[in-house]
Amino acid sequence: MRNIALSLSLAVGLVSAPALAFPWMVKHDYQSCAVCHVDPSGAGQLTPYGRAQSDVLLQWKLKKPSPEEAQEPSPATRFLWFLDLPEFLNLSGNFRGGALIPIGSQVRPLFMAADLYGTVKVDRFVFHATTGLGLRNVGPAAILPQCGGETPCNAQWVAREFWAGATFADEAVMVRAGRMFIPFGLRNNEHTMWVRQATRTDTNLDQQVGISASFNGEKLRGEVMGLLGNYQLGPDAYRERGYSAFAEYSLASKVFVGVSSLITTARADPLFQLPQVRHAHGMTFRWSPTEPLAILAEANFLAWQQPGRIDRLGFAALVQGDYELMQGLHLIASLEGQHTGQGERGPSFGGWVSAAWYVLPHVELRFDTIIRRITRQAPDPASTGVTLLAQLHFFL
Amino acid sequence: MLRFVCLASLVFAAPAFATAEFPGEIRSALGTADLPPGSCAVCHFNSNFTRAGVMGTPFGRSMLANGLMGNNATSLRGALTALEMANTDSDGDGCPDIAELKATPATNPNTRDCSMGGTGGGASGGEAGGAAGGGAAGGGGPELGPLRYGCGANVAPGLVGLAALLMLARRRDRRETR
Repeated sequence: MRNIALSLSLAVGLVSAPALAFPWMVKHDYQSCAVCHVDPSGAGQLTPYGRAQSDVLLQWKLKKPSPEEAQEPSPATRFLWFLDLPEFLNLSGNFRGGALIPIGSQVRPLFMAADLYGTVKVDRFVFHATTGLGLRNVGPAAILPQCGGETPCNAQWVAREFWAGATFADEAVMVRAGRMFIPFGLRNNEHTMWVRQATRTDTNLDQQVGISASFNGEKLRGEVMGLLGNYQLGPDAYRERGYSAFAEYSLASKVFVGVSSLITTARADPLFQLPQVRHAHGMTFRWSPTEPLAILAEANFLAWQQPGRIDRLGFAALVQGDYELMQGLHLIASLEGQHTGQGERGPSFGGWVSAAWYVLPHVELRFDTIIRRITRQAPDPASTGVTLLAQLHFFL
Repeated sequence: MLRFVCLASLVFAAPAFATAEFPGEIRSALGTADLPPGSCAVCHFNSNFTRAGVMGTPFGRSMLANGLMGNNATSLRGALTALEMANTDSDGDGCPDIAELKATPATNPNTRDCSMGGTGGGASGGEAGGAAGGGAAGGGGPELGPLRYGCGANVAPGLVGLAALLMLARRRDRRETR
């Protein structure tokens, strides 16, 4: 029963999925995400250059292309595989579906994401918005209808990002305001991993309204964001306000080390309705020792402070290895751990074994095996759950 | 049985959880045979999409203000004792919470359904919370209600200011190029 519950809870987290982000692009010596993504810190919509690079560097090819071929992206990298757009306009989409196969339970089809992205770039000004449909548990990004309380969160119109920004210093600096991804840690696309869930910084549902300034230099990149709250949830007392920031420095070619920090305060936490200050502070590491391999790591210290209660201390950590067997076919192994500081008898641990196959232009097929051992408070024993996840992803 | 499972993978998407043993612990501590219908609802706003909603009922908030902690039966008994000692009346119907729960049949300490004749002397949840909880928000103040999603009438105020800033910047650029 516990295994089923664990798998189902994981399923709930997976029924909506975010845009992709590939921190392992470090193996291609990409430190900065801004050249390929509209968001200067990565994830979400690709720039036209990023779309071309997705064909050159990501797509599965049976034999390694010649240097000339590698420079020439396929015409299929255009919007909807064939549409040419004016230079100022960037349209794309993100559709993801799949099936969750909890060991010992029924297979569940998943509708993860159906989002459209739009960006208009005029001179130094950038306007970006996404909209889409979510079927379940997309509440924090929902616009209509309202849900919560007695009303279940089923089909909803969602808007994960909408922001406007301006670039300066030859586009090395971008100042933005609106609803954005929170700058913290590795912007990995496995949004249910504990490093993202425990810090509430995933690119699926944890966007917030705020003002940010980002920098992408030759050796250094980073972003600091003032968090004004998630205005797609209420009442206002539950909204978290504060700051989040990260910086990453290139120690050497294909070796990057970063720091992240986040402090938020809310007048009420959703669980106990007590004021809460939440901390997450950590480090990241990206390294590509050989061309096919990328090692990613993140470790965060966590703390929750509430008046009249003992501070809760915890952590969330991840180590991930991404090995590219051949271009477009990745084997990924991940180890994760967390402690939520709620009196559980030691940390929980998880392991992911995944395969991602970029089989066609803008098409990804991915399989994950997720094993998690969840530790609980005494006298409850720890439980282990195994879940298989299959995903088909189109990014238009 | 499900406690903390959601928390492990859904810290935000499933913001509330219930301690499954608590209803039984309350029965045991108070020596009462039954609780009001839907015993989780004594403390939690019910919800259809998680096992239990936010712990925000008047009685639940009074319990929190008196030291209740998730998955901690000792804190539960301590909070019940504190409420009984203070004659806390979270719903203000004149019947103290613990008396309502001990009554046969039990009545709901969150609704003004007192059928035993109010004593009129009970401290409100807010008063009890303020005294015992050191002024923690859980016991006093207006009830927040459950967490709700969907912006509906919510508008990000910063966006209006941002649009104005961008227009100003654009004008400045034009002036400089002239």
